[in-house]
Amino acid sequence: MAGSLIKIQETTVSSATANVDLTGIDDTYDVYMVKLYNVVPSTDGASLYCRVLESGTANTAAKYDWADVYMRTNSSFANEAQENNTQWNWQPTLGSASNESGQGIVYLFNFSNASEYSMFTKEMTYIRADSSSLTGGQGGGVFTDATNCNGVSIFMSSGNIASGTFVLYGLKITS
Amino acid sequence: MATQEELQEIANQEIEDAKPLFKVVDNVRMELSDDDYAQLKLDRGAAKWDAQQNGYKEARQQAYGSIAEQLDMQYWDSVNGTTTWKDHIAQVKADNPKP
Repeated sequence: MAGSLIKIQETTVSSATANVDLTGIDDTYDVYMVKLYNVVPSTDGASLYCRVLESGTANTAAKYDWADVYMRTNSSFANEAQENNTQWNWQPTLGSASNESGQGIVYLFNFSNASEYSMFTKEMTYIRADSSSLTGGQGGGVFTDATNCNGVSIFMSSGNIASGTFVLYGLKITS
Repeated sequence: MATQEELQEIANQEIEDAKPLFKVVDNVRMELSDDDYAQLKLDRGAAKWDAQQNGYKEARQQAYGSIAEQLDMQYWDSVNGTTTWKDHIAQVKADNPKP
């Protein structure tokens, strides 16, 4: 089995931006992927958040659950989980100092399937603001409403996205 | 300790002071709509409230020594009759108090 990544959207932020919305998810592919790299918040210590888009509009309902484990160079690992929040937290306490940024891959499942919950798995690495230490984060989340989602809206818990690149791909599998 | 309403007011003012704010939709940059601004204010207020009420948890997680370090403290405490581990935990809690 072979496959390829089909690029759907790409946004590079070079001046302060509150939200980056990536749309184009439909039933063309079973799985979609968001690649984000060199993401820097304008507010040191802000967290990188995400919501699903329904027809291009972010759903702000308290239906976002996630469970993550964070491995840290300066401390013991930490488990973090929340239910019924109003967004997912992809990168908590992201640093904005020189050479501090966030990178990651997120796989999106069932987004275009109105009969199933939308879910994601993630693999992140970034430099934390409070300790300037490396964090590796892995986990997943679910939006507990069976709706048709056509994209994601990515934003910071506080302030803007100062810079970063966000790419949405479809995973095309050929056999 | 600020009330949720007070933090929301601060958040509202921060957004007003920061205007104009922009979003990028499929690589097209545009100013936030009125609805976007309203949602952003709510989000900012909620984030401030969460940070005030729950920020100590994350701060404590960061401040605690690793499991290996804490086990080492406990071992030497048991050997020497000291209270290094208990003091460490107490100090982290004191430095990062619950609201």
